[in-house]
Amino acid sequence: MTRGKHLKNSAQRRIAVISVVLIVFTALLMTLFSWLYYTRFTAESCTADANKFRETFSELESYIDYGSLKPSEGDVPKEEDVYENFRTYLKRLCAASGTEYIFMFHAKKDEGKIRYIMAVADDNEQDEIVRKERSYNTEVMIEDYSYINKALDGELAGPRRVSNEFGRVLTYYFPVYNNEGEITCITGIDFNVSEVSSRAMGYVIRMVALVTGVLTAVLIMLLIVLRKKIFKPLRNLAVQMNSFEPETEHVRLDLRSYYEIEEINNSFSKMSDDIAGYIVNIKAMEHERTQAAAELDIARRIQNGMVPLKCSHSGRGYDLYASACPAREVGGDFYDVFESGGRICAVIGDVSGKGIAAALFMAMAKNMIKNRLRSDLDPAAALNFANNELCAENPEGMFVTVFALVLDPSTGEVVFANGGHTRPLISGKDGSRFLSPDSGIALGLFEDSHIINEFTVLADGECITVYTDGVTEAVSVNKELFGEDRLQSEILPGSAEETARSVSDAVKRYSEGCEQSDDITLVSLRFTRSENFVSELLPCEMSSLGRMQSRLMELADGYENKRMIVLACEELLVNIVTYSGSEYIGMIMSREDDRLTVRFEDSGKPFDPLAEPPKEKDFDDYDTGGMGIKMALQLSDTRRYSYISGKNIINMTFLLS
Amino acid sequence: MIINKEINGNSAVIKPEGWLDASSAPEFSAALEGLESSITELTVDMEKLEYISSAGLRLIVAAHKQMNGALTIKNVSSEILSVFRMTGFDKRLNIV
Repeated sequence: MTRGKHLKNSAQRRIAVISVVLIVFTALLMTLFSWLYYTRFTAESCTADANKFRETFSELESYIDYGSLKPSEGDVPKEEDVYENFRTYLKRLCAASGTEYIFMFHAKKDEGKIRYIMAVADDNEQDEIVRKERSYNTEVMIEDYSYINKALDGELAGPRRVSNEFGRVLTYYFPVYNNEGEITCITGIDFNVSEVSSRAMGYVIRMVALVTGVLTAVLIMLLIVLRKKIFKPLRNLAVQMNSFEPETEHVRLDLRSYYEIEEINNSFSKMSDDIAGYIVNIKAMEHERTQAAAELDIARRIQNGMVPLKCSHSGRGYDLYASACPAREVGGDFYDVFESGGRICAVIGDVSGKGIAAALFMAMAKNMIKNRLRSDLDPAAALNFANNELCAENPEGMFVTVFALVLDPSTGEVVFANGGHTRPLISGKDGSRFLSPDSGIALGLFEDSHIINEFTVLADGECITVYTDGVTEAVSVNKELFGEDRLQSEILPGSAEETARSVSDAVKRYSEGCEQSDDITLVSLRFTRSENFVSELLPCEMSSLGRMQSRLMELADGYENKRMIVLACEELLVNIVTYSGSEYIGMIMSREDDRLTVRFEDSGKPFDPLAEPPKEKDFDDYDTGGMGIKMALQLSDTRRYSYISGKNIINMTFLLS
Repeated sequence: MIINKEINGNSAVIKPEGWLDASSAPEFSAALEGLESSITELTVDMEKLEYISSAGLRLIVAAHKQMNGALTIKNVSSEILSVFRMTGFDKRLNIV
C-alpha cells in the first residue's frame, strides 16, 4: 500500500475534509438565510415607505391636481408651465421621500402598455435623462401587467422588483383620483434597493466570515488535539508494532493518551511479552526436536549396523535367509545368525519401545546372547544368562522377547528356547505347522526366568521361520491383523529365501496403503539332509543292535575304522537298552564326506554318559562291565549330551578313515 | 556267531568267528561255561574274529578269572588289538 493511499484513507484527512465541507455548508446556509431575511426585510420596509408616500401624495393632491393630467393627443398636456410646475413639485417630493424615481402614467386594464405623463428622478443627472426618455405620452410595453391591473383596481400594488438601466429598484403602483373619484392615472414610485442590498450583503459577509472563522478555529483546535492525543500515539504504536522483534525486549511506549489508546498500548505490551515467551518455548521445542531427530538417527544407525536389512547364508545341510524391514520410527527388532561348532544359531528378538533406548537395549541383549550362545550352543542358557544380566542393568524397565535356536545341519535337530516370543512356523513340501514352544518370559523383567530348552527335528527340506510380531500384527487398510492363519496359508515351500520372501511379500501386499507401524523381521532356516542319511526308530531292546550295526556299516562302507565306530555306537546303544527303561531309541545317522554323525534319543531315565568317566577298576572286576562308555567316548571325535523335554539326547561325531 | 572249540587234555582252544558283540556274547559266554572244570589252560584264537565290543571284553576278563590267569590270546588283528590297548587289557592279557 502506498503512502498516498494511507493518506487518502486516514482518519485525519477524513475529519479535515468533513470539517471543510461542514464549514462551507454552514457558510452557504447562513448566506442563504441572511439573504432571504434581508430581502423580506427590505420589501416590508419599502412597502411601509410606499404606504406613507401614498398618504403624503394624497395630501399633496389636495393642493396639486395631478388627476387633471389627462391623456391628450399633444406632446405636453395643459400648459407647459403647469406641467413643469407639477413636475417640480414631484421632483421635490421625490427628494423628500427618499425615492429614486417617481413616474406617472396613463394605463387601461389589460392593455399591456402604459403612456407616461411624467417621470422624475432624485438625482439631477438621472432626472434629465428621464425627462427626455420618459416624456409625456411615451409608450412603454409592460410584460408583467398584473401590478398595473391591481393599481387600476385602486390598490397599492407592489413591490415589483425591477432591474433596468436605472438600477435595481422596488416599484410600487397606486392610482390617482380626480375630483369625481375616478382613476385618471397611475403613480409609480421606485425605491433604490441597490445600496440597501450591498449593505446587507456586507453584513452577511462579515457574519459568515466570523462564524466560519470561529468554526474553523474550533475544528483546527480539535484536529490538533486529536492529532496529539490519538493519531500520533496510534502512529507511534503502529511503528512499534511494525518494527516488532520477538528477540529484543519490549519497552512499553509512554503515550500519554486517552484510556482507549492506553488499553491498546497495554494489550500490545502484553502480546509482545507473550510472543517473546512463545518464541522462547518454540525455540526450546525446536531444539528438543532436533535433538530427538539426531537421537533417532543414531538409533537407526545402531540398528542398521547391528541388523543388516538382509542376510543370506548357506552351507552343508542348511540355507538361511534373514530380512529386516524397519518401520519409519526406529524399533528394537533384531535378528542374529551365525555358525558355531558346526551348528547354525539363529536368534530373533523384539525390544519393547522405540528409539535410542530400545536400540541400545537391543544391542546389549543381542551381544550377550550371541557371546553366550556361541560358546555353549545352549539357547536356554544363553537366554537365562542374558535375562539375569539385563535385569541387573535395566533402570528403564525395558524388556525383549527372544527366540533362539541352534540347528545341527547333520541331523536336522533344532534345539530352541523361547523368551516370550511369537511361535515359529515350520514349513515344507507337505504343508506347515506351528511349533508350540514353552511361552517362556520376555528377558529383562524377572530374574530366574527359567527359560527351558526344547527341540524338534526337521525333516528333509523343512524350513523353520522365526519372525517378530510385525509380521502377524501387520495391519491392512481395513484395520485387520495379518494373523497366524494367513501366515500359515501364505508361506510357500522352497529355499529359505523363497520361504522368507513369500512371507514378507504377503505382508507387504496385505498392508499396502498403510504406514508400516512396526519392524518386520524374520529368519528362515532350511535343513537339507545329506545323501547318506539314515533315520531309525528302534525298539529299546538288544535285537535293535544288529539293525544299527548294519546301517552303520552301510554308511561307513569303505572306511577302515567303520568297526570302531560301530563299537562306540554299540556301547551307547547297549547302555540305553540296559539302563534307560525307555520304550524306543530314535537314531539318526548321517555321513558327510569323512564325518559321521550319530544321534541317539530316548525317553528313559535322565543319564548323562559323558558326565563322569567310569572309575578305574581292577582288571578282574571288568567282567561286570564299565569300559564300554569309556571306549565310546575315546572313539568319538565330538560328543554331546542333553536332556531336553524328557529326552536323553546324545550326539556324537566320528572321523572316518 | 560260530565258536569252534578244540580240547587237548587240560588245555582248550576257542576260536570265535565273526562278531563278538552284546548280542552274540551270551553264545560265547555259554561256550566258556561249557568247558570242563578239568581244563586249566585256555587259548582264544582270534584269527577269525572281526569285531569285539565291551560285552566280549567282559567275557575275556571272566575267562581270565576262570582260568586263574592261564589265558592266552592269539592271532589278534590290529583292530582288535587297538581295542585291547584302548582298555589297557593288552598289559594284563597274554597276547601272542
